Amino acid sequence: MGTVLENLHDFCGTWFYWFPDFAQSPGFAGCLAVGAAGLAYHGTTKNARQEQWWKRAEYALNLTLSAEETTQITGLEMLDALKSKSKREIAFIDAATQWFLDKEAEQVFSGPAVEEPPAEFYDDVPAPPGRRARILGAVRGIFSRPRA
Amino acid sequence: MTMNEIPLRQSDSRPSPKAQAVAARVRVNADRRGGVKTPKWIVKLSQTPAAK
Repeated sequence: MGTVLENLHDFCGTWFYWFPDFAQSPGFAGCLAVGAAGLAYHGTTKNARQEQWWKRAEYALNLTLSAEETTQITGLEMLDALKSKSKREIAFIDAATQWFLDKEAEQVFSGPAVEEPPAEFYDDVPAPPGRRARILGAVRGIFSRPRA
Repeated sequence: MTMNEIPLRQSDSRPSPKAQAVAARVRVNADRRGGVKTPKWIVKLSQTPAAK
């Protein structure tokens, strides 16, 4: 124990000379206990929050499975009110809304798919030189980023 | 009405446009909170008057 304390004294140096004595005091044990309690509290509240989220999400999901439109919309609004943030929660929302947002819905709202014209169609447009293309690409990249 | 008494949708049924629009808004909000990119057609669908 004496060697350990000597090493600790050497390690702490000039500025933390008080620490080895403090480490042996009941106050330090109290600080550790408070820290452990804080960690336990954090873990418990986090788990409780997740559990509550899943319970509410399950209830909302069951509502979205209803045959009636009003009940479905109520379930969807409840899912929105859950304020999902983690990846798992967002994956749950994706799964819950998948039936409503399938490919047929895309065709109904955005019209039939438009075929891309052949490459010859763009032949009259001059190709930008390499440096200009890089700059334009960088500018387009900035403006095409999703807004927060 | 308890959860067990709610009539479930059939497998061959289709969602109404209003439900689709609301689902699109829910999806867009969730993706925005998670920093995930949402497909454009879903964003467009979420901006229709039916989604309000």
